[in-house]
Amino acid sequence: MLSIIRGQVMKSVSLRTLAVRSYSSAKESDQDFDNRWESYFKRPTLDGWELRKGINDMQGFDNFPEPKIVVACLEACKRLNEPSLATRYLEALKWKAGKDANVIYPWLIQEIRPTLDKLKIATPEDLGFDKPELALKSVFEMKGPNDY
Amino acid sequence: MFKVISSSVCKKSLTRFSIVAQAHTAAATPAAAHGHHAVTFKQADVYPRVGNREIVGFGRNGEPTYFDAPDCPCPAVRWREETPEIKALREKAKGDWSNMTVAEKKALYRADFRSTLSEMTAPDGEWKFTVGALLAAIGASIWGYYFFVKAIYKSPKLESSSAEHQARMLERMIAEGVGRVEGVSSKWDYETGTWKKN
Repeated sequence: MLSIIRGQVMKSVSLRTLAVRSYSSAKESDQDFDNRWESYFKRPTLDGWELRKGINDMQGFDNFPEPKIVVACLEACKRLNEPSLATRYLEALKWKAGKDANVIYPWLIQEIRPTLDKLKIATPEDLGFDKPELALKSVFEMKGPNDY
Repeated sequence: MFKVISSSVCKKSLTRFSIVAQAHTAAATPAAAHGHHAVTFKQADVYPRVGNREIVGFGRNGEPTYFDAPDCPCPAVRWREETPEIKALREKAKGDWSNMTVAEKKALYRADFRSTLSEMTAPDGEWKFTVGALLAAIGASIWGYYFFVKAIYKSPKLESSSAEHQARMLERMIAEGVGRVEGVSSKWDYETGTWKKN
């Protein structure tokens, strides 16, 4: 009985403290961040401008988006009829994974594979964009003076 | 008195700003005064250099320019201007994407974006130019220094910098008793006419 009362009191005290503190320094939890961005991309009235702004902003954060955010973003691309933007975002995520791309990117593709198959989204590999298509070859890959 | 530089460019930018200003004033004033509600103006008049391209987003700073950057993957305008072929592709993209072939998807991508991210990040050999320019600058500096030493800094030395003159100066300072407490004359023994031994 006593413990229940104490639990309630402590709960109210800690909540109040939290509220007071968050007045000066609101700290968003990771869960709230993910939910916020997932709901941002899931909003039915999202337009192409906001979709691109969201992608650009996400690309600037010091984190890697959860697959559920990526799925929401790809569904928004489908809703707004932008297949090239979906492919572009997957490329951008591969770049964002940095030196760990060979671990993170396949994991991401594996996580979002159902969505890719459902919406028929082409990954960069499907379009041959994982290798430079129009860029010059590296000199170390050239076989001769006319091989470029 | 004043020269008009590149009048067409000036005219274009003036047109752009005057149209934007007109739009703002028209939006600020009551609609009844103008007799219509919406202010319509053509994109080609406001952004003459964008052409027929669709302005689709914010880009990096809100200016409708195209650029490729991996940290900002969505530029503000599409790469290519709208053509009937691209419009047909966009209509097709409104349906099921499994109906689009790989070539069509690639064509649509290239209409929206100039280069893929792997093309952006591909090595372009620019480091060779940078290293070459750096070495050329260092080489030019060394040769320039050599040239200045040999050709410019050749004025005759002053007479006062010769060893004989300095010896005469020292002799005179000792004769005049310069620094007799702690300076040079305090180290001179005037009785024997030699330097003091400690």
